Amino acid sequence: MTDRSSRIDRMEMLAWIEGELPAARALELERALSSQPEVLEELRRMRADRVRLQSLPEPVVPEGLLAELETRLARPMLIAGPPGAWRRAHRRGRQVRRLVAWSAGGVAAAILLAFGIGLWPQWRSLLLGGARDRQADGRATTESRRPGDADASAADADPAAGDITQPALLVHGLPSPSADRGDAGDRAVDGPADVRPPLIVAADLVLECSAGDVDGVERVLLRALTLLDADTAWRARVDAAVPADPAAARGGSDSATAAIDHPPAALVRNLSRAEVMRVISHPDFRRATDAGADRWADHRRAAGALGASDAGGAVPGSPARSAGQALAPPGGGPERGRMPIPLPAGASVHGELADLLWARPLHGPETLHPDIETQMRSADHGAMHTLTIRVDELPEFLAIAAERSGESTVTGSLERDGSGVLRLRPLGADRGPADLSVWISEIAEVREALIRVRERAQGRSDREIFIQIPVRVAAPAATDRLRRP
Amino acid sequence: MPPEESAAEEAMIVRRYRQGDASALADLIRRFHPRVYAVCARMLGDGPEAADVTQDALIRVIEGIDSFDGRSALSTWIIRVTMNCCISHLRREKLRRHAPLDVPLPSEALRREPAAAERVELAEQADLAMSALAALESDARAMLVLRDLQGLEYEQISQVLGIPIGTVKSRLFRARSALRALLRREEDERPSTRAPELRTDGAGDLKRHD
Repeated sequence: MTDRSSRIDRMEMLAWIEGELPAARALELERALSSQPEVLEELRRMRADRVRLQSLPEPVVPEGLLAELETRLARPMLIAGPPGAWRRAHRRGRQVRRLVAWSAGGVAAAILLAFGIGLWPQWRSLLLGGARDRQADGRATTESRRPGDADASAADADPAAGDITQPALLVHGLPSPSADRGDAGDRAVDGPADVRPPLIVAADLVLECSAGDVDGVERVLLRALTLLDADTAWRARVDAAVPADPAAARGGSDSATAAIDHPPAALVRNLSRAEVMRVISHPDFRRATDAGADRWADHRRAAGALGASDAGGAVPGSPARSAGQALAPPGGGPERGRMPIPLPAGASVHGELADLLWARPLHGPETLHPDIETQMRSADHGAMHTLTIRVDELPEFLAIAAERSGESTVTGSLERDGSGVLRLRPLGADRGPADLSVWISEIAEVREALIRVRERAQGRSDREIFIQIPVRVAAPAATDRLRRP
Repeated sequence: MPPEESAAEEAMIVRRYRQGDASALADLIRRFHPRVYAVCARMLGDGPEAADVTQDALIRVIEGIDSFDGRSALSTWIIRVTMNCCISHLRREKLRRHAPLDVPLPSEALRREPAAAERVELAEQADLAMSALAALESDARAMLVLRDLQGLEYEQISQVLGIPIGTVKSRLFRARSALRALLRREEDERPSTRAPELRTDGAGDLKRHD
């Protein structure tokens, strides 16, 4: 089509097609184009085409589209809460911050869940993927670690020489402890460029991992311990929380428990003894702590006191965990997988490190992704454990928690009421039970943590991001309960 | 519904949402999902792809609702999000909708209509129009979907596509020309599919002229 008439341009033709020309002008156009009937005919056809399109029926929305949409929305909303809240929180959290939300007074209380021991076997396959081969009752593992055991002996003889177990997820790089900077300002060796390391988010620290980098593990663990040790605010909290009178502490005050069980300790909770010794023996650690020889000696002495048959040691937060006490976890001795560990005077400021030293000696790749079932077998009432869960598994984790909550006991449990509705009774008992959905939507700290995780995730998928959740086991270990399907 | 009433209802939804009314999002989805699907179906074909992209678009709407600044109507913004999803999908899939003109696209709504002779003819014309629409380049198709099927004004199309109004008009004219070319080819082959000629009656009203 050509618009040979200088008085008619395409915009006017368009306006005529669209019916937007004033009547008089429309007639003028038609008269002007009467000498070009093919052009006028074309315009008429285009106008008819427009009407034809406008007359097309509305497409029918397929059945189930909204239901599918709801399903797609359920997962992110489960983790992140209502989308608006997510977006608002995301906008607030532009500056990368340390994940301080997991504080003793906040998330630890909110997400401390007590589960029946029966939960753990089902969880293991979900949480650990390829589970390690374990003895059916778990006791063989611990029994094998009697004095004289070859592996343990070797570690005793030269702890520093023991190989650090290379977990599936090792570490390199840490954020600076002094600023809430974005990416770590002090990175260890990077992993292979063609292999994106997964990301572990643990409590107060965000760590990026590269498999196979043993030196990097050491460096970051050193930094982790340095951060813990140098965190004066944390130390002040611990000091303030631990009563001066050990006898009073024996009663197990909640404040002491809460402070000592601060999530930063959870990060390195499950290192093997050999790993602990290797780290704390490193000269950098000694310098970094700036604690002088006496404190380093404290650490080493305490670590060295771990027995070969240690299977978890004393219970973090147990009443005996107070300064200057030889820790004797309530109710038992080595036969229940707990070892008395003498702590030097002033140990309260090293509460987080003591936690470390009580870590279970584990072997295999799951050092940072521990075998929960085995932990639970030797767990004691009130023990704190760290679950490492992949972010994309989190909805399943919560779903299983909901499903199995009826087996949980004691306080801080997910319980079913008489009508079968799942309710959460948080620790502290000053709040009434709540529906699980409410609980999930109220885990603001978890949501915020995940938002910050994703900010740091550098495009990683949820399958490459792990979070560590402190979980308190409220029920005593019982082998028969482990066997419950 | 008069445009002003529609705009007021849309504004109310946004206001409710920002006041923390959790049901506002559900109302938003219920209100707009047919329209979102209509855009996707006309851009991508009335099938599973349209359903998937519809969900994508609605999720983006939900995720981005906080960023809606009210400078355009909510519906315009939602259509913009939807069109972006469609165009992204097309680019991603490098899809060329060269549906042959002699194979009409399914039209479920028309199939449900009683088989009157006139309606059969209209159904054939509708199918032909849809086939031609599907055969257009995505930019031209988008223009016609927004203008003719969604009834947007030039300014709204400008907001949806992020182009000046002058560009909207020139592209619209080119899109109509392209559609006409496709339909002409088919009409030359099948004269029965030719649409009734439309003429104005001097007052600007269209009248059917057989």
